[in-house]
Amino acid sequence: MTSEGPKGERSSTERFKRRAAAAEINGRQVNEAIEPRGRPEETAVFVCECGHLGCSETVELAIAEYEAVRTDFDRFLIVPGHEIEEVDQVVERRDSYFVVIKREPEARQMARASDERSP
Amino acid sequence: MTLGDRQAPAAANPTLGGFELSRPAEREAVTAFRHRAAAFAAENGASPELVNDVALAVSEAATNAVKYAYGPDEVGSVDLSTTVEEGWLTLRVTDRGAGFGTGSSDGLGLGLMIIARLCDHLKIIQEGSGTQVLMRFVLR
Repeated sequence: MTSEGPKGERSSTERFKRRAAAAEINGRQVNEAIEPRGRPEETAVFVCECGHLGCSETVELAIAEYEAVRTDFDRFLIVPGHEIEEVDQVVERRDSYFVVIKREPEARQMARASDERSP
Repeated sequence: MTLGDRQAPAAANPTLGGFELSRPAEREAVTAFRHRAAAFAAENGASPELVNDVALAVSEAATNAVKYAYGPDEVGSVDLSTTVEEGWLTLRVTDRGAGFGTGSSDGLGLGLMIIARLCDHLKIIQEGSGTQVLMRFVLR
């Protein structure tokens, strides 16, 4: 989906959803880039993968915990309360983080296309 | 002519719809890249808001390369290349350093997070020696 050009009419709602989904995918790119090559029980600071463009919050997790979030292309780590109703469905609730998946097929496709871990 | 050109005339090559620029991985590269990226976006019809987003994102990517890619005794380089195609601006900041996750990274995530929020598509490629931060923006 990311190779798709921006041409063509989209409603503002569609643009918002797409932009939020892109922000979440970009956040995951950051986490995968900075994820330290440590032991699974070691902790690291991960950025919130929410779709709020102004968010700069982080979550400290064991590397193994983050890897558990990343068991599927569609799962994203967010700070509790950062879910966007139109975009995200919360599937796990932990004290310091939530795991969300995408509601929209287009957003799911964007997530899959960007995920180099997917087969 | 931009500030970056005046400061360091080396290695600025035009490409189809964009340009390539190489600088020593020093603070001056950040300024040079920011100016050139902003000019590139403006020349291709970006709105003032998008010009600012592009400039800030490139500045953050270049700052990461300058601060984290090389050791204190290493003399490395950082490159900026750009293309414009079918309504997308694409900018790549590339270094040949150690890569993320191998050393001190205080502040690294924040810079990358800023980039992530600014651009429409972000890809961070760490293969072999070096890191490429690929940022794409929808022209608006």
